Amino acid sequence: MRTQNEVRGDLAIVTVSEPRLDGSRGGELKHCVVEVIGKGHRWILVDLSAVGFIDSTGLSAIVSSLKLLGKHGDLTLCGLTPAVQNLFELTRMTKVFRIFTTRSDAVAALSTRAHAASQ
Amino acid sequence: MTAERLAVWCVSDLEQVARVAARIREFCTRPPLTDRDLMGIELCVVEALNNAIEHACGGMPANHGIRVDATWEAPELQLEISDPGRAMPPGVLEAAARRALEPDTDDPGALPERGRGLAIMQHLMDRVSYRSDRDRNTLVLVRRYHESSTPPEPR
Repeated sequence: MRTQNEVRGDLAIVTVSEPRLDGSRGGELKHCVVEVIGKGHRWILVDLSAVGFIDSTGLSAIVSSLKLLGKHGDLTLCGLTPAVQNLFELTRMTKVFRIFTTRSDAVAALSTRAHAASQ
Repeated sequence: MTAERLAVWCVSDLEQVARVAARIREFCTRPPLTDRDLMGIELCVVEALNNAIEHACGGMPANHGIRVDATWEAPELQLEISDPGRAMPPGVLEAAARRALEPDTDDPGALPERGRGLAIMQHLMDRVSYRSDRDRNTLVLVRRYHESSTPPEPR
């Protein structure tokens, strides 16, 4: 899976560069997040703005990643395209995840929060 | 009204799913279906194929043929996804229909990680049924689309 990882202070940003997050790719996203957590990051933003399609397997990978962090961090999302937004609304995952429209909005809000929480 | 039909075959390989779903979406691209309708159709085809490949045909040689039949007879779309694998255990479809897609937001640790596919299809389609005979299992998805219809709200 094509992803790009970036660190801004205490916030790790995982940008998914795949057009589809489905049964053939979902597990790879979880693996990528596991690696980020393994490096000590607990505040993770996943940028999905390049993902034009997601199925329940892709959603499962995101849910599983959130559960890995437990109560010691958070996994936040940004850039949901219409098909991704539809699945999150259908499964009511919009109630579970904090979702920002743009990456810049998310970074502005989360950088402060992640830094405060890590103190 | 004459029915229009499309049949697409693929082998039991998750890498094939996107291609088949795109063919079905292209077939369904017609009035009065909206982009949101088409997203729902593509999602249902992907979920059905994932289940057929992972659960019905999992562990079997990948050359087992899975077939998707789409029939458009305005205003009704019928999709049949058939596989030669293991039949879905009795009660699974009915259990999915009873399962609300309402997560427990107070305890993210208890969120289920899998098992949403059938429930998603049941939310997006008017009817979901399943039959199994000696040779093949077939999941049937039916939805009627009207000019003024709006996608069903999550239950």
